[in-house]
Amino acid sequence: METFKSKKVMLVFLLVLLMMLLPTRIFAATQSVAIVKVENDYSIYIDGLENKDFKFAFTNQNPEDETSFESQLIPNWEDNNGVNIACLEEGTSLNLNEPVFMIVKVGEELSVTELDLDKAISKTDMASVEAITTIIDVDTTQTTTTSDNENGVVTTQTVGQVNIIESAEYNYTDYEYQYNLIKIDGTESETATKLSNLVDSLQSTYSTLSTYNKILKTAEIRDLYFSLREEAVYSKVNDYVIYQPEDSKEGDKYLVLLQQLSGKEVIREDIQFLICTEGHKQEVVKEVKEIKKATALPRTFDSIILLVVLAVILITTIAVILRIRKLNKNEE
Amino acid sequence: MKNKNKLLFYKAFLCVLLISLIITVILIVKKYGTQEKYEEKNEEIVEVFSRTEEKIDQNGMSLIEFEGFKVIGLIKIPAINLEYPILEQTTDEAMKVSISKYWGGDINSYGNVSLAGHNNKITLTMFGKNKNLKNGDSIFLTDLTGTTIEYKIYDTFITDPDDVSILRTTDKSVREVTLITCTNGRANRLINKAIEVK
Repeated sequence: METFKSKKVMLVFLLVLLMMLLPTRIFAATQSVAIVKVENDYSIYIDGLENKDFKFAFTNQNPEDETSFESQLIPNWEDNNGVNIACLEEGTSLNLNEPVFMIVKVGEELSVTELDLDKAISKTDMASVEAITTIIDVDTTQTTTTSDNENGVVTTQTVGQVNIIESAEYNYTDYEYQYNLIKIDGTESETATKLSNLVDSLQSTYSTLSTYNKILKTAEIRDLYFSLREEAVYSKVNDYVIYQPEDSKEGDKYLVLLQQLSGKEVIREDIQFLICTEGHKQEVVKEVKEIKKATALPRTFDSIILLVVLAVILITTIAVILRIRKLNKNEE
Repeated sequence: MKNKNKLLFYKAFLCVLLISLIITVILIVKKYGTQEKYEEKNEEIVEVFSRTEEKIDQNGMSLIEFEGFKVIGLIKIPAINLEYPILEQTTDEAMKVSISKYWGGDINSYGNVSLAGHNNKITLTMFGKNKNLKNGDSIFLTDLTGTTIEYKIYDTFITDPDDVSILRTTDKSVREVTLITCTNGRANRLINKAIEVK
């Protein structure tokens, strides 16, 4: 009985000892990150940790034991907007041409994430996506109507257009605008349709996104745009107006890749949407042959002569009646 | 004796005046009674025009007639509570009946279509309230196909009776409507110009 009791105590003691000796860290999955390159530094935004405190460290070796980096972990940084980030600074002792691993500790939780620095997007890309469709000022509300007269038949055509509004800031001495139209209906270019949908949805939601998601969307838009730009055959914009294609129909939507060049250098580039309001709908009307000649406008006067006559007669009648009464009195 | 002759003369004159009075009253009643009658009939024609689906024959002529005049459309100006059938031609008789087309192509055709109407100052019917129209007021014209197009007034002015320049079409690609009525007696014309709302 005594032996059994002491064995039980020993077992409890061993269990307690084992629990104390076991490493306290919990292995976590890798973090989802979005990287922005600012000059030669990398700002790393970690999904879900933008408002949480954490510690981080970098290494070129995939650590088998993350705990060995505990002493190297430093507290998170903040970007200009107060968002918590990890930062890989220029002049780091790491070799950036080799794989880079980031160790992150949140509370007691440690994780290791391999960083793909080639996927980092630049601050300029971020700014461009944020300003997309407004980089080059345009007016898409105008339409042009032309009419031809052939053998007494007037054919009227109304077309949608994109008018480029000149900017004094970018008014170089020698420059031109170029464009490429891609129909957005999923048949001509799936990429254009994807880009269009993405830009459409972002225009209303961009400001509500977290920085992490903004970077991901920026990268997506940038990649789609680069892919379209590679295949684009640009045409020169004449008189700052881009007309809808001749074979377009009412309601057709086009993605307009637009760029301003000075010589061969691209100064600005942007995308726009052209919606064909009436297409090349032809309205044929018979021409009115104006054979008669107008020499005067119609007389539309409502004569009040009868009312005037009535008034005159009434006044005269009253006067005559009075006169008769007076004469009758004299007669008496 | 002199007074007696005078009395006789005035009595005879009074008779003439009374007869004139009766005739004038009859003429006034007839005139404004006719206007009233046409007003009522106009309302009926507007309803008939709106209800009828087949308004044109094989030759493109209107099948709806009013007092012997073909009805080619409807005009509605909500700002002055005006709604009339538009008659095909402008004659003295037609203008007694309703608003009429004075110049231009079919109703709602491209170019300038000019409509004339009496400035009925007493009853304030037809174009009698046109002077109250302002820029931006809407004019709705319905044509024989049943299509209604909204026009917005962009200019109102007074001109001479021989200023036919207001009838001209300046842009064949634009639908325009010009309302004409008399003002300052018959000395001038009040013009309201409106353009299609796109």
